Amino acid sequence: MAKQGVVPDSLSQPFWDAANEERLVIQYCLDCDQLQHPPGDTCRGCSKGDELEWKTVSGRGTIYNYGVVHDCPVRLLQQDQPFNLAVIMLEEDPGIQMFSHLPGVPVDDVPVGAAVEVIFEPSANGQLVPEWRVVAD
Amino acid sequence: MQRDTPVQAGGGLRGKRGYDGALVQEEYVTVLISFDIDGTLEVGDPPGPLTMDMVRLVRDKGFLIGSCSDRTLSGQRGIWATHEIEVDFVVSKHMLPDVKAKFEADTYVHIGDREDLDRQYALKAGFDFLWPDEAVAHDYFQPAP
Amino acid sequence: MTTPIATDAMYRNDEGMGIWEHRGKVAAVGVGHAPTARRWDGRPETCVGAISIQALRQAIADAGVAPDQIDGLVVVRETTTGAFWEEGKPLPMDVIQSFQQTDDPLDGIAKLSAEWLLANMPELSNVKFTMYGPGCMSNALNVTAQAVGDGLAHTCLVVKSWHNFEGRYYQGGANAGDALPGTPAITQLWGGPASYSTALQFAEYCRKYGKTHEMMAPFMENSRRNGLRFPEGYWAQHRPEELGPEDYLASRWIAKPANLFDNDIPIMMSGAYLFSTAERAADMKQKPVYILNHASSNTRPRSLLPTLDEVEDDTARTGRKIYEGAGITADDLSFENMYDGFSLFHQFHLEGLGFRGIKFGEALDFYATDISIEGPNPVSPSGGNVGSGRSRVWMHTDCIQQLQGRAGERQVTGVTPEVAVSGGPMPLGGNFTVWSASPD
Ligand SMILES: [Zn+2]
Repeated sequence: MAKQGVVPDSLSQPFWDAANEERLVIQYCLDCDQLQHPPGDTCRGCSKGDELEWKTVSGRGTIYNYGVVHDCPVRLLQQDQPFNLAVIMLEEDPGIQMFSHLPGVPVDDVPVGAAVEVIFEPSANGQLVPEWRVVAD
Repeated sequence: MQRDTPVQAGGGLRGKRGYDGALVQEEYVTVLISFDIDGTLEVGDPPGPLTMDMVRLVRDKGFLIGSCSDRTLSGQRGIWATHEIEVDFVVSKHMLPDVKAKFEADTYVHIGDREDLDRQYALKAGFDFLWPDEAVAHDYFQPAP
Repeated sequence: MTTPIATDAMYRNDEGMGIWEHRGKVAAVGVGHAPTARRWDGRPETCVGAISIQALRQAIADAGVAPDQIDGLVVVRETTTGAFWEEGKPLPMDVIQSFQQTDDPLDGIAKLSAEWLLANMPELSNVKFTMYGPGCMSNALNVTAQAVGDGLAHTCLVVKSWHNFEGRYYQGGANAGDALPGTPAITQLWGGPASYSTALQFAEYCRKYGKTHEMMAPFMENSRRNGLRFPEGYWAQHRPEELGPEDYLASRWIAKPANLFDNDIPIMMSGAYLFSTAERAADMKQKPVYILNHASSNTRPRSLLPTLDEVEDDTARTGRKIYEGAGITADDLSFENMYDGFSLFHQFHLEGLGFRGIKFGEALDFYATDISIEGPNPVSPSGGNVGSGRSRVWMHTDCIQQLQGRAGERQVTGVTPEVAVSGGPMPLGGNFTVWSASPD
């Protein structure tokens, strides 16, 4: 699916730079010893900003939940309707979620709980974007 | 109100024209028209350019007709009942494929005012598509000669 | 005068705060609503500022108060339903010139400031206290109740209005572009519609408790039925259409399992109330409805979307806060009237309250029982946003009118209306008000 392009801003630059190197990084608070996603200027746990860094994660996870989008507000995605929109839980911390269109998974036939691994797909301006595919058992 | 039984081969005359444009032959064809309501029919919100008399006209020509709208099914039936027009179907926006499966026609047309909810749904379901303004000017809605 | 946004001091976010210090000493009296419309027609007299003035004047008249007796005004500044004035689109000068304008030309058209209202309501000559409650009437009501209780104003108006322009919901702006800035891209590149998060919580709920989307049908039918008895509402005013099970279940998906009717219809609307101290309220035209408590949740999800666990933890906590500060229990609730836009989270609110002893996972079965206004367990007698369009206001108006005994055709008849709670919006993060026919 052709996603909109991405123009990294200062907060998200490390996330998108890593994606272009096919690495998944998640913001991490040294003080709280917790991952945080989506990223913020400060930690939502301790409100500190100077304890935040980016941590490379395994890129493994499971499908937590999903819906099927039939009426998408994003123009570029409308041609692909209906499509799966799943939420992935990271292996390192199931409380951390990421979105996925689950490329290759038939619409509304999503194996909730299945293992997935991160892949990287180009968006409209070439920026690589993390996506997830089901791992064959 | 909805017609109890689908009319067999509700239809009209399709003209075949010769090289000079003159009508040389007519054949009996079945046309099915699906009307969006809001922005398409005069009773819609917002009102559209197609009058209920135009709907009656194609009805009287023997076309298969019905509505395909985001309005509730009961709401759509209510509109037709109020205007005393018998229709063959009322469906939700995503149900044009069901209409096509249920009714046999030579031509399936959906008239609506939305790119995403009308035109794209219609083309996907194998319907021809007309914008309301195009429809008003179409032969379908001109009185039979 | 620059109007401040309410600070944390105006809200009751925590458990263990005890009975609200102003319990029974603040009352709602007047109610005002402007006529609804699907979209703004571009006329000065129907812009969001104009309908706000209309609703406010009606609330004042309803309470029977002289405008110069009013000393407070709480406003929700945000008025968008998801429709924004497009950049570069010419300003509607005829509308702007019809009003006393602030230095923001879209004030009164695509937003609403307290200053704009006061400039255009010269009769409010004695307002000394103004404050913004962000987002929703539910929030602004908490602010108003606390402000009157704290003595910041003795007679205070509160207004929430909505504008809706041409075009489809949320389809302009960034969503129409070819690229997104990096931070919003992390959450928005995947294109989830507004109801997506709620749809997922509902999907998890159904998996956990073995429920189905079809089981929502009785709630939807009941809500629209009640809404059609709400003369101030959109469906009653413009399209008196029922929403039976066939209608509901035949509608298209937006984000499955949320369908079109699980999403409320965006409209132009304005609702306003007049609050006062209990002593002053006693002499006003309508029966006072006393505020027993207000409670808030500022919980945020750990990551992208609230999980069902997070939702259930928070709605239960919200229920405890509501009851603790009001000094009541679930048994005291005459009916249930929590927020419903999106319909698929209404059960979270209901279960968090423990209305009629309902536990997690039981609400959809409860919907199959008699939840009508005539029965012993009225659910959403206001009809909510399902019944009257997007306002996030109906449940508040309904609680006030039910307890005043002037809910008209919506008046509950199977129970005596004595105590009620209303609020929202989302199960995670909302504001709630406890209403009572008596101050004790
Ligand atoms: Zn931290």
